[in-house]
Amino acid sequence: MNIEALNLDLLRSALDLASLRQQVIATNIANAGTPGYARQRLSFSDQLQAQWPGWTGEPRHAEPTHPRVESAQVGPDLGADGLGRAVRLDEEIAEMALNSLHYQALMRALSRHFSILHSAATEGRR
Amino acid sequence: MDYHSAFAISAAGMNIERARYEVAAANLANAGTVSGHGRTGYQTRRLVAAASSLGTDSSSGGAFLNMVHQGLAVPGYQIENRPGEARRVLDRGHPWADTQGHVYQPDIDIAAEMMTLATAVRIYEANVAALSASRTMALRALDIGSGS
Repeated sequence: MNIEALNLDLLRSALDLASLRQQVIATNIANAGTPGYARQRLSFSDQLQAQWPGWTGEPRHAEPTHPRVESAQVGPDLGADGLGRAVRLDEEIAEMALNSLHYQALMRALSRHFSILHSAATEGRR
Repeated sequence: MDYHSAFAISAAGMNIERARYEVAAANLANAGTVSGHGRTGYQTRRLVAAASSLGTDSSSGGAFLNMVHQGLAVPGYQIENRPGEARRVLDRGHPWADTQGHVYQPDIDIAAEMMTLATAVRIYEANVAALSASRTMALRALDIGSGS
Protein backbone atom coordinates (compact mmCIF):
# COMPACT_ATOMS: atom_id res chain seq x y z
CA MET A 1 0.00 0.00 0.00
CA ASN A 2 1.43 3.32 -1.01
CA ILE A 3 -0.32 5.68 1.38
CA GLU A 4 2.69 7.95 1.48
CA ALA A 5 2.86 9.39 -2.02
CA LEU A 6 -0.73 10.46 -2.56
CA ASN A 7 -1.63 11.78 0.88
CA LEU A 8 1.47 13.80 1.59
CA ASP A 9 1.57 15.41 -1.82
CA LEU A 10 -2.11 16.27 -1.78
CA LEU A 11 -1.99 17.69 1.72
CA ARG A 12 1.10 19.75 0.97
CA SER A 13 -0.49 21.28 -2.13
CA ALA A 14 -3.71 22.00 -0.27
CA LEU A 15 -1.84 23.62 2.63
CA ASP A 16 0.18 25.76 0.22
CA LEU A 17 -3.03 26.93 -1.39
CA ALA A 18 -4.73 27.71 1.93
CA SER A 19 -1.67 29.74 2.88
CA LEU A 20 -1.78 31.58 -0.45
CA ARG A 21 -5.48 32.31 0.02
CA GLN A 22 -4.77 33.72 3.49
CA GLN A 23 -2.24 36.11 1.96
CA VAL A 24 -4.69 37.17 -0.75
CA ILE A 25 -7.35 37.91 1.90
CA ALA A 26 -4.83 39.79 4.08
CA THR A 27 -3.88 41.87 1.03
CA ASN A 28 -7.53 42.71 0.38
CA ILE A 29 -8.03 43.80 3.98
CA ALA A 30 -4.82 45.86 3.97
CA ASN A 31 -6.05 47.67 0.85
CA ALA A 32 -9.61 48.11 2.15
CA GLY A 33 -9.17 51.88 2.55
CA THR A 34 -7.51 52.44 -0.82
CA PRO A 35 -9.72 54.10 -3.42
CA GLY A 36 -9.68 52.34 -6.78
CA TYR A 37 -8.39 49.04 -5.44
CA ALA A 38 -10.00 46.01 -7.05
CA ARG A 39 -10.52 43.09 -4.73
CA GLN A 40 -8.13 40.24 -5.60
CA ARG A 41 -9.51 36.77 -5.88
CA LEU A 42 -7.90 33.35 -5.91
CA SER A 43 -9.58 31.32 -8.62
CA PHE A 44 -8.68 27.77 -8.09
CA SER A 45 -11.73 25.53 -8.22
CA ASP A 46 -12.10 26.17 -11.96
CA GLN A 47 -8.55 24.98 -12.37
CA LEU A 48 -9.21 21.94 -10.27
CA GLN A 49 -12.18 20.87 -12.36
CA ALA A 50 -10.32 21.50 -15.55
CA GLN A 51 -7.42 19.39 -14.42
CA TRP A 52 -9.03 16.50 -12.61
CA PRO A 53 -11.47 14.78 -15.00
CA GLY A 54 -8.78 12.43 -16.23
CA TRP A 55 -7.87 11.25 -12.78
CA THR A 56 -8.49 7.56 -12.29
CA GLY A 57 -7.63 7.40 -8.61
CA GLU A 58 -4.23 5.87 -9.20
CA PRO A 59 -1.50 7.75 -7.36
CA ARG A 60 0.65 7.49 -10.45
CA HIS A 61 -1.89 9.42 -12.50
CA ALA A 62 -2.57 11.93 -9.78
CA GLU A 63 1.01 13.13 -9.78
CA PRO A 64 1.01 15.62 -12.70
CA THR A 65 -2.56 16.83 -12.12
CA HIS A 66 -2.22 17.99 -8.54
CA PRO A 67 -3.70 21.37 -7.71
CA ARG A 68 -0.67 23.54 -7.09
CA VAL A 69 0.09 27.13 -6.23
CA GLU A 70 1.63 27.57 -9.67
CA SER A 71 -1.65 26.64 -11.33
CA ALA A 72 -3.78 28.91 -9.14
CA GLN A 73 -4.73 32.29 -10.56
CA VAL A 74 -4.79 35.51 -8.56
CA GLY A 75 -6.64 38.33 -10.25
CA PRO A 76 -9.16 41.10 -9.78
CA ASP A 77 -12.65 39.98 -8.85
CA LEU A 78 -14.79 41.36 -11.65
CA GLY A 79 -18.45 42.07 -11.02
CA ALA A 80 -21.30 41.62 -13.49
CA ASP A 81 -20.48 45.00 -15.06
CA GLY A 82 -16.91 43.92 -15.78
CA LEU A 83 -15.43 46.35 -13.25
CA GLY A 84 -13.33 45.35 -10.27
CA ARG A 85 -15.34 44.93 -7.08
CA ALA A 86 -14.53 46.96 -4.00
CA VAL A 87 -13.42 45.24 -0.79
CA ARG A 88 -16.18 44.40 1.67
CA LEU A 89 -14.78 43.76 5.12
CA ASP A 90 -17.51 41.36 6.32
CA GLU A 91 -17.06 39.22 3.22
CA GLU A 92 -13.28 39.09 3.68
CA ILE A 93 -13.50 38.21 7.38
CA ALA A 94 -15.99 35.42 6.68
CA GLU A 95 -13.76 34.00 3.96
CA MET A 96 -10.76 34.26 6.25
CA ALA A 97 -12.52 32.35 9.04
CA LEU A 98 -13.46 29.63 6.57
CA ASN A 99 -9.95 29.42 5.17
CA SER A 100 -8.37 29.30 8.62
CA LEU A 101 -10.66 26.44 9.62
CA HIS A 102 -9.85 24.65 6.37
CA TYR A 103 -6.14 25.04 7.05
CA GLN A 104 -6.51 23.60 10.54
CA ALA A 105 -8.54 20.66 9.21
CA LEU A 106 -5.75 19.93 6.72
CA MET A 107 -3.22 20.14 9.54
CA ARG A 108 -5.20 17.62 11.53
CA ALA A 109 -5.39 15.32 8.51
CA LEU A 110 -1.61 15.59 8.17
CA SER A 111 -1.14 14.72 11.83
CA ARG A 112 -3.43 11.70 11.47
CA HIS A 113 -1.46 10.61 8.44
CA PHE A 114 1.76 10.66 10.44
CA SER A 115 0.15 8.84 13.33
CA ILE A 116 -0.93 6.06 10.93
CA LEU A 117 2.66 5.80 9.74
CA HIS A 118 3.82 5.77 13.34
CA SER A 119 1.40 2.97 14.08
CA ALA A 120 2.75 1.01 11.12
CA ALA A 121 6.37 1.63 12.10
CA THR A 122 5.79 0.38 15.66
CA GLU A 123 3.69 -2.57 14.50
CA GLY A 124 0.60 -1.24 16.23
CA ARG A 125 2.27 -0.87 19.62
CA ARG A 126 2.06 2.42 21.43
CA MET B 1 3.33 29.01 5.21
CA ASP B 2 5.48 32.08 4.82
CA TYR B 3 4.24 33.99 7.81
CA HIS B 4 6.80 36.76 7.42
CA SER B 5 5.03 38.21 4.41
CA ALA B 6 1.55 37.44 5.76
CA PHE B 7 2.39 39.45 8.89
CA ALA B 8 3.99 42.20 6.81
CA ILE B 9 0.83 42.66 4.74
CA SER B 10 -1.37 43.09 7.82
CA ALA B 11 1.20 45.33 9.50
CA ALA B 12 1.20 47.61 6.46
CA GLY B 13 -2.59 47.71 6.54
CA MET B 14 -2.57 48.61 10.24
CA ASN B 15 0.07 51.25 9.64
CA ILE B 16 -1.92 53.08 6.99
CA GLU B 17 -5.11 53.06 9.07
CA ARG B 18 -3.25 54.36 12.12
CA ALA B 19 -1.84 57.18 9.98
CA ARG B 20 -5.33 57.92 8.70
CA TYR B 21 -6.58 58.08 12.28
CA GLU B 22 -3.77 60.43 13.32
CA VAL B 23 -4.43 62.80 10.42
CA ALA B 24 -8.16 62.96 11.25
CA ALA B 25 -7.38 63.45 14.94
CA ALA B 26 -4.95 66.29 14.12
CA ASN B 27 -7.62 67.95 11.97
CA LEU B 28 -10.17 67.69 14.78
CA ALA B 29 -7.70 68.97 17.36
CA ASN B 30 -7.05 72.04 15.25
CA ALA B 31 -10.66 72.67 14.27
CA GLY B 32 -11.09 75.51 16.73
CA THR B 33 -7.81 77.32 16.12
CA VAL B 34 -7.89 80.78 14.60
CA SER B 35 -5.46 82.85 12.60
CA GLY B 36 -5.39 86.51 11.82
CA HIS B 37 -5.14 88.45 8.60
CA GLY B 38 -2.22 86.48 7.20
CA ARG B 39 -4.30 83.26 7.23
CA THR B 40 -1.20 81.38 8.23
CA GLY B 41 -3.16 79.05 10.46
CA TYR B 42 -3.54 75.29 10.42
CA GLN B 43 -3.67 73.62 7.02
CA THR B 44 -6.27 70.87 6.84
CA ARG B 45 -4.56 67.61 5.92
CA ARG B 46 -5.71 64.43 4.33
CA LEU B 47 -4.24 61.00 3.74
CA VAL B 48 -4.19 59.78 0.18
CA ALA B 49 -3.74 56.03 -0.22
CA ALA B 50 -2.06 54.94 -3.43
CA ALA B 51 -3.41 51.77 -4.98
CA SER B 52 -0.91 48.94 -4.73
CA SER B 53 0.72 47.83 -7.92
CA LEU B 54 -1.34 44.66 -8.20
CA GLY B 55 -2.27 44.60 -11.85
CA THR B 56 -5.71 44.46 -13.32
CA ASP B 57 -4.79 41.21 -15.04
CA SER B 58 -4.74 37.79 -13.44
CA SER B 59 -1.38 36.39 -12.49
CA SER B 60 -0.36 32.98 -11.29
CA GLY B 61 -0.28 32.18 -7.58
CA GLY B 62 3.53 32.12 -7.65
CA ALA B 63 3.72 35.55 -9.30
CA PHE B 64 1.36 36.94 -6.66
CA LEU B 65 3.55 35.58 -3.85
CA ASN B 66 6.58 37.19 -5.51
CA MET B 67 4.84 40.56 -5.48
CA VAL B 68 3.93 40.05 -1.82
CA HIS B 69 7.58 39.29 -1.03
CA GLN B 70 8.68 42.49 -2.75
CA GLY B 71 6.15 44.49 -0.75
CA LEU B 72 4.20 45.43 -3.85
CA ALA B 73 0.86 44.11 -2.62
CA VAL B 74 0.41 46.67 0.14
CA PRO B 75 -0.84 50.21 -0.30
CA GLY B 76 1.41 53.24 -0.02
CA TYR B 77 0.19 56.58 1.24
CA GLN B 78 1.06 60.21 1.50
CA ILE B 79 -0.27 63.02 3.64
CA GLU B 80 -1.03 66.20 1.77
CA ASN B 81 -2.66 69.54 2.47
CA ARG B 82 -6.27 69.68 1.46
CA PRO B 83 -7.03 72.76 -0.61
CA GLY B 84 -9.82 74.90 0.78
CA GLU B 85 -10.44 78.43 1.88
CA ALA B 86 -10.22 79.25 5.57
CA ARG B 87 -13.56 80.10 7.10
CA ARG B 88 -14.06 83.78 7.95
CA VAL B 89 -15.53 84.39 11.38
CA LEU B 90 -16.59 87.77 12.72
CA ASP B 91 -14.97 88.41 16.10
CA ARG B 92 -14.24 92.08 16.61
CA GLY B 93 -12.79 91.70 20.06
CA HIS B 94 -10.17 89.16 19.02
CA PRO B 95 -6.61 90.50 19.22
CA TRP B 96 -5.80 89.04 15.78
CA ALA B 97 -8.90 90.38 14.05
CA ASP B 98 -8.27 92.28 10.80
CA THR B 99 -9.62 95.73 10.07
CA GLN B 100 -13.14 94.41 9.40
CA GLY B 101 -13.01 92.41 12.62
CA HIS B 102 -12.61 88.98 11.02
CA VAL B 103 -10.49 86.05 12.11
CA TYR B 104 -9.95 82.84 10.11
CA GLN B 105 -10.55 79.26 11.08
CA PRO B 106 -9.45 76.17 9.15
CA ASP B 107 -12.24 74.69 7.05
CA ILE B 108 -12.74 71.36 8.80
CA ASP B 109 -15.80 69.19 8.32
CA ILE B 110 -16.27 67.66 11.78
CA ALA B 111 -18.77 65.02 10.60
CA ALA B 112 -16.49 63.87 7.77
CA GLU B 113 -13.51 63.63 10.12
CA MET B 114 -15.55 61.56 12.58
CA MET B 115 -16.55 59.24 9.74
CA THR B 116 -12.90 58.86 8.80
CA LEU B 117 -12.06 57.99 12.42
CA ALA B 118 -14.78 55.34 12.62
CA THR B 119 -13.87 53.75 9.28
CA ALA B 120 -10.16 53.71 10.10
CA VAL B 121 -10.81 51.94 13.40
CA ARG B 122 -12.92 49.25 11.73
CA ILE B 123 -10.39 48.56 8.98
CA TYR B 124 -7.62 48.51 11.59
CA GLU B 125 -9.58 45.87 13.52
CA ALA B 126 -10.04 43.81 10.37
CA ASN B 127 -6.27 43.89 9.84
CA VAL B 128 -5.74 42.74 13.42
CA ALA B 129 -8.15 39.85 12.75
CA ALA B 130 -6.19 38.91 9.61
CA LEU B 131 -2.93 39.03 11.55
CA SER B 132 -4.38 36.88 14.28
CA ALA B 133 -5.63 34.30 11.74
CA SER B 134 -2.19 34.16 10.11
CA ARG B 135 -0.68 33.68 13.54
CA THR B 136 -3.05 30.82 14.37
CA MET B 137 -2.22 29.12 11.09
CA ALA B 138 1.51 29.49 11.68
CA LEU B 139 1.16 28.05 15.19
CA ARG B 140 -0.87 25.11 13.88
CA ALA B 141 1.93 24.37 11.44
CA LEU B 142 4.19 23.86 14.45
CA ASP B 143 1.86 21.08 15.62
CA ILE B 144 2.58 18.84 12.61
CA GLY B 145 3.46 15.40 13.81
CA SER B 146 2.93 16.13 17.48
CA GLY B 147 0.92 13.14 18.60
CA SER B 148 -2.72 12.04 18.24
